[in-house]
Amino acid sequence: MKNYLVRRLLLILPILVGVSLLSFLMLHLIPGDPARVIAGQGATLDDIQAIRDEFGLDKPLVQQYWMFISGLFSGKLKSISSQQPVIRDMLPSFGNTVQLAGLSIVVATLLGVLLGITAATHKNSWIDNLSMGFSLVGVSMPIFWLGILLILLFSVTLHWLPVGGKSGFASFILPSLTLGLPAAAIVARMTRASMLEILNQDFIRTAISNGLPRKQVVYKYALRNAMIPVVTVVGLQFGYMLGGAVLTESVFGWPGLGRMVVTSIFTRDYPLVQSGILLIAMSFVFVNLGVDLLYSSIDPRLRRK
Amino acid sequence: MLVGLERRSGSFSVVWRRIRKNRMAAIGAFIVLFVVGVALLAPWISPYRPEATDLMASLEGPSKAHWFGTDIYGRDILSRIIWGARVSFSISFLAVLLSSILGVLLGAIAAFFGKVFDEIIMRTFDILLSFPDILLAIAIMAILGPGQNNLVFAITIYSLPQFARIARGAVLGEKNREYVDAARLSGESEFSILVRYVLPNTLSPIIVQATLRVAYAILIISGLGFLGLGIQPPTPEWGTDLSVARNYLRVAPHTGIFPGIAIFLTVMGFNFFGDGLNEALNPRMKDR
Repeated sequence: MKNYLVRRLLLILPILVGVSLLSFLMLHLIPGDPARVIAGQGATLDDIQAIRDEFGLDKPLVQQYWMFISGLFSGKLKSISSQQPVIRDMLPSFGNTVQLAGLSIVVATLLGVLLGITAATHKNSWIDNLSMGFSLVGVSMPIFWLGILLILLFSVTLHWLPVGGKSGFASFILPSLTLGLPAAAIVARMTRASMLEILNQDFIRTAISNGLPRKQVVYKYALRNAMIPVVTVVGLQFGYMLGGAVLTESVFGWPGLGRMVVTSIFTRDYPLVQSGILLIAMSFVFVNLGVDLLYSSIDPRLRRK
Repeated sequence: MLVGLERRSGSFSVVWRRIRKNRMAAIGAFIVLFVVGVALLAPWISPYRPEATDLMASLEGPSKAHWFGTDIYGRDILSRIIWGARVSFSISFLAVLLSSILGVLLGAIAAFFGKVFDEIIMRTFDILLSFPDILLAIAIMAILGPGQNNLVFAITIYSLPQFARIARGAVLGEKNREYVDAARLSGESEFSILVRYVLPNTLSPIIVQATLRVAYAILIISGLGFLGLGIQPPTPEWGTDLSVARNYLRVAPHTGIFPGIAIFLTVMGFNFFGDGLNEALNPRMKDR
């Protein structure tokens, strides 16, 4: 296991470098002189020169890259609009995104696994059709429209829940349902497929013919084995949520990192855009690493590959 | 394209018959044809010009004059949805076409020539895939700024890695077959073996992927539009229109419903059709 861990860590190193390099290069890929781009229209030559000095834009690219990375962590890299270190601006929003994604993944897992098991144990019944219908709808649903529909139903019509913002538990419900339901659809599909495969295997038939109660066989023996691929799907969905949350955040005015990145694109606050994108991508890489490690610790066969 | 289908699965009509037998796929095909038809016929079937404002008729609910009601500027929502189909389709088809050609070529080169090619190409795509969900598209739009051509570019890049991975896997499976050795022995050049013999045999998963990718592309176009980073108003686009509607949900809920139905149905159509195509082209994989 230790060897495997080291190997996996070495593998993500080039990816992390690549991701940070791309985020850094963003500013230079924008057509035009980066200093002028940051300064915006109507800036004087002095303004542009000041920005060039602050961001070291006349230095070699390698040195600028280093300034970007070290500045991000040391707090020297500052947001243009708030003049605060980007890291200080980002962390609270990142926390909000993680909270939202965390609750959403709980919703997705509980609902998805429950639906998947029921569908598998009642194959071809109405409940199977219903839950598979739900999962088909889930993958085609534009997430922001789901959010709008939930607002229309629960906020505008029923007045049960707030339209947006982050204030207390009630404000978590609609955003986490929005982000969680499409993921639940995917988890349900995976759980069903995996359950059906396990339920067809010899050891299950043996257990049942030996007279073990069916419930015990399903929930104790089959479920444990069927969960292995489901764990991966749940983990991957959690990673996707970190990036996909931006749409949900935008519907509900949720003060998360994705929304901050989008707002900063409009205010041309490029340091915040670059570091926000980098932070989301990095956490995605680490979540995937975590999923891989978890997967191989549940299923030791994978480590030997 | 048809040639490839014939080679792999007998004949086009066999595939077509299998699709028709599969209810989901038939529904998908019907929706896809319908929406494509709407997009093509937009100038003739839309009751109003999509950008024609009428401030006296702002935020009216559905009526005989405006089947889906009007938006905040009094524009006819039905007309905007019809024209929106045209916008979404032209962008998504073009982007999927570009990314499938480029992605398949890169993935095939990576698999067929291996070693350095494989490492460079696939590691680069690994990096692109490290930007989860819509984030890569957001980053590209942040660099290029909004606009239709930039959107095509962003979605092309966004879809490239998927095609490359599938093509790579398929070519890896084919490249050690006997017919490749036979072609090599008869003196064909490596590149011509790849393009003339190996690639046509990998077509069916790529066609399936292209169909499903159109669905993703439409979701991304509308998502970027919703964030204000995609198509800019007053050009009709479903996601952009929904972001405007978001502000008037209390007074005019209908504005938040119809464009969403358009996105949802279109995406579902392509998903059903893609899944059905998958089963028709690879009948053995049916239970996956």
